[in-house]
Amino acid sequence: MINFIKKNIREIENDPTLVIYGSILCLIHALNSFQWINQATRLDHICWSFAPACKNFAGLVFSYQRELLFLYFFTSVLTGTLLLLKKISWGYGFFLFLEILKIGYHLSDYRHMGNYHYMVHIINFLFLFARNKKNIIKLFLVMFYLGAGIIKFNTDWLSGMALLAPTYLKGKWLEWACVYVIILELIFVFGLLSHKKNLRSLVLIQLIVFHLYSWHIVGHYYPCIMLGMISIFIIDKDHFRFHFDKMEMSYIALFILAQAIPLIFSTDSGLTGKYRIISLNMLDAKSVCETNLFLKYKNKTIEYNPDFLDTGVRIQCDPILAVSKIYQTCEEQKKNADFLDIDFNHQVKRISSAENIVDWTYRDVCKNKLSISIFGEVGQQQ
Amino acid sequence: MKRIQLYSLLIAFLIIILLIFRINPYLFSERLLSADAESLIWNVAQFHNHSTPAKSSPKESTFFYRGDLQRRASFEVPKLPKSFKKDWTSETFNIGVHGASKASPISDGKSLFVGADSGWFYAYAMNGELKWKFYLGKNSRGIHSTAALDEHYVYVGSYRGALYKIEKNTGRLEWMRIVGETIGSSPFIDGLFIAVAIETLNYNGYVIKMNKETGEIIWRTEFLGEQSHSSPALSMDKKILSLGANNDFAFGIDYTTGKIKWKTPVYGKIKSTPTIVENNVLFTTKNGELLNLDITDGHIKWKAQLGSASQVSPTYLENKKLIIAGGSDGTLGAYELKSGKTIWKKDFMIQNQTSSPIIIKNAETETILMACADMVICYLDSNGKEISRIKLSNRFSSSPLIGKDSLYFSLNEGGLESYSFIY
Repeated sequence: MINFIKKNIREIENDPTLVIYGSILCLIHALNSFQWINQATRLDHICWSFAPACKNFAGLVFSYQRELLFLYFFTSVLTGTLLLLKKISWGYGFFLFLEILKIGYHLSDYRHMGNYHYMVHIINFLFLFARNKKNIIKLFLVMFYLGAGIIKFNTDWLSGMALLAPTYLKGKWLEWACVYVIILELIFVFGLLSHKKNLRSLVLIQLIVFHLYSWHIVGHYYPCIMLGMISIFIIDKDHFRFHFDKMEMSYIALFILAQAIPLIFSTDSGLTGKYRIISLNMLDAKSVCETNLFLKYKNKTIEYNPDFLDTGVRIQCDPILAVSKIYQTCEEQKKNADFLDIDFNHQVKRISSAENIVDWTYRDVCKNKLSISIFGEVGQQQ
Repeated sequence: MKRIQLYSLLIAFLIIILLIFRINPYLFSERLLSADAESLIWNVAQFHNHSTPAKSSPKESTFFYRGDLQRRASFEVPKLPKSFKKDWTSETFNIGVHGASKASPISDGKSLFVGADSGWFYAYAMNGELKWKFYLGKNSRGIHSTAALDEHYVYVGSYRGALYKIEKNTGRLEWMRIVGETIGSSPFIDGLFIAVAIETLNYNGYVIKMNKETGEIIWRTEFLGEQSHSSPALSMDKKILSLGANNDFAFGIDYTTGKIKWKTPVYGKIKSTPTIVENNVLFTTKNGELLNLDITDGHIKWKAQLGSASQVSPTYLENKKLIIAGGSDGTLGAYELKSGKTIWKKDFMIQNQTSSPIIIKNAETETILMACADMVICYLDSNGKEISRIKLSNRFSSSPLIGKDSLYFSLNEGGLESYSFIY
C-alpha cells in the first residue's frame, strides 16, 4: 500500500504538468467550498438512499458546517500552494485529506448531489490513485462528454426546453445549437485524443466556447469546474496515449458500467431517480413534477404541495426528496391527536412531454412507510 | 487503420443524425419541437376508498351551479316566501382574495358545500354545523368555482387547475387531477360525465369533458384563444355546449367530440355564464349587450343594450318568456325571448354588480332574487316590483342558493349566511 502511494507521489513529482493540474484541482476544491458556504443556510438534511439512517452523521456535519467548510477552503489553498512549491508528499497527503473532507460533506445531504461533484470526485480519485494519470484523466474527460451526449437524446434537450434560463439563441437557432452540442460531445470530442495538435486545439476551443456560452444559462460554477478540469489539454503539450494496465482498465470498465446501468434498467433515470447516483446527470432533462401530500385529520384534510425548487432542476423532482418530506411530516404530525395519516401522489414528467414517467399514489404512508432502495426504487411496506 | 477509424466515425455520425431526426423531425421545417409540449394536464391521482361502495348511476340526482345543464338558475320551491329571516352564520372563510366572483354554495338538501377564496372547501349540515373541511393545496387565489354534486360525491375545481372528487359524507378524497392552470368556472354533471372550462396562465383556455367515475379525459377542446371565466351550458337536444371567452367570442362545441362547431364574434369579453332556452343561447358581454345566439350555428338573432358592461349571467322567466339580465352598474331588465324587446328595466344604482339573478318559483308564480344595493338582496316579482329585501352582513358576488325553505349566501369577506322563508 505504502509503495502504491509512493509510486503515485513519484509520478506527480516527475511531471510538472501534473503538479500544475493538481493545483488547479485544488482551485476547484476552493471554488466548491465557496459554493457550499453559500448553501449552508439550510436547516434540515436529506439522507442519501444508501444511508437512510444518516441522522447522527448529518447532524454532526450540520453542527460544524461553517467550520468544516472554512477548513475545506483553507486546506485547498494550502494544498495548491504546497504542490506549486514542489512539496509533493505533503501536497499529496493534504489532497487526500481534502477529498475525504469533500466526500464526507457531500454525503451529509442528498441535495449536494450533482454532476459537478460526481466528475470532480472521479478526476480527484484518478489524480490520487491511477497510474499514467495524465492519459487516463484525458480519457475520462472525453468519456464524460460522451456520457453527457448520450443522455441528451431526448425532446427536452433537442427542443432547448431543458435549459435553465432563456438563452441568446432562440427558435430554430436554439434547436440547431442543441444538435451541435450532441455532435460535439459524441463525435468531435474524440479530437481531444488526436495526435494532431491542430485538431486537439480546434475541439478544445469549441468546448471552451461551449462552456463560456453556458455561463449565462447555468451560472459560473459549472463552467469554471469544466474549464478547470479540461485545462489538462492546455497545460499538457503531449498527445494522448492509450497505454493502461489492468487496474486502470478496470476503472474505465467500472465507469462505463455505471453509465450503462441506468440506461438499461431504468425507463428514464433523469425522472425516476433510479440508478442515477452512480451515473452522470447533466442538463439532459428538465423535470416538472406535482407532489401532493394529503394530510388527513379527523373531519379535516389538508393538501400540502411541497416544492424543492431550491435544490436545483436536476433533483427537484427526485423521489428521495418527496419521500424524505413524508418522513419529516409524519414525524411532525405525530403530536397532533386528530392526525390520522397521509395519502401521497407524486408525478413527474419532462417539460417537453405530456407523458408521465413517474406516477405514484400511496395511501396511509405514515402507517405503511415508503422505502427507498439503494438505487432509488420506491416501495411501500405493508 | 486510419481508414477504419474514419469510417467508424462516419457511421457513428450518421447514426447520431438519424437519432436526432427521429426525436426532432421538424429540424428542417419552421415548426419548433417545443410547440408539441403539453405539460398542463397531469394523470389522475386515484385514491379509491374501497370501504365506500358508492358508484354513480347515470340517472342519479345532480346539483350544480345555476341549477340545470342550461344554467337557467330557476329553482322550484313548494311554497314561495314573502320575506326571509336570518338563521345562522358560519365561520368566516372568504378573506377577500381576488376580484372574481366567489364560489356559490350548493346543496343536495342534506348538506351544504362551498369553496372559499382562502383555499378551503367546506361541508356543512343544513343547520350550519361544520361536517368537514378540505384545504385544496397551494394556490394564491383559493376556490372560486361552485362545486357540483351527485349522489355520493362532490366535484370542485381550484385556482391551481385541479379538479377534485370528494366523498360527500366523509370528506375523503376519491381522485384529484390537475387539468390546467386555473379553474374559475363551475362544472356541470351530465350522467357519467363532468365538463368544465379551464384557464391557462398564458391567457388561454379550453373546455374538458371527463368521466366522473375515473377522472379520465373524454375530450379536450382546442385552445379557445383566451381565458374563459364562463361556466359552460349544455343543450341536450342539440348536443352543443356553449360558453364565452375573454377574446370577445362565443363558442358552440360539439358535446360528443369536443370539436368547436361555431365561434361567433360578440365584440365584448364574455365573463358570464350563458343561459340556454330552447334553441337560444344568451350571453351578456363586457360591451354592455345581451345577445341571443342560435345554438345550432351561432348566428346572432338579436342584441339588446344593457346600459353598462356586464358579467352578470342571465336567467329565464318561463311563464312570461322573459330573459332577466343585468349590468355592472346595477341595472336589471326583462327582455322578450323572441325579439329582445325591453319589457321592464330597473336601476338599482349599485357599483360593480357581479352577482347574477336567480328565479324562485312554484307551479304558478315566478319571482326574482338579485343584489340591489350594497350588501342588500332584493326579492322581486316577475314585473320587477320589490316584495322584500335582505340586509346581508357583507358584500356578495356569488349566486344565492335556494333550499326547500331557506336561502344561503356566501359573503365576499365572511362565511355562509342562512335565511329561512317566511310565508
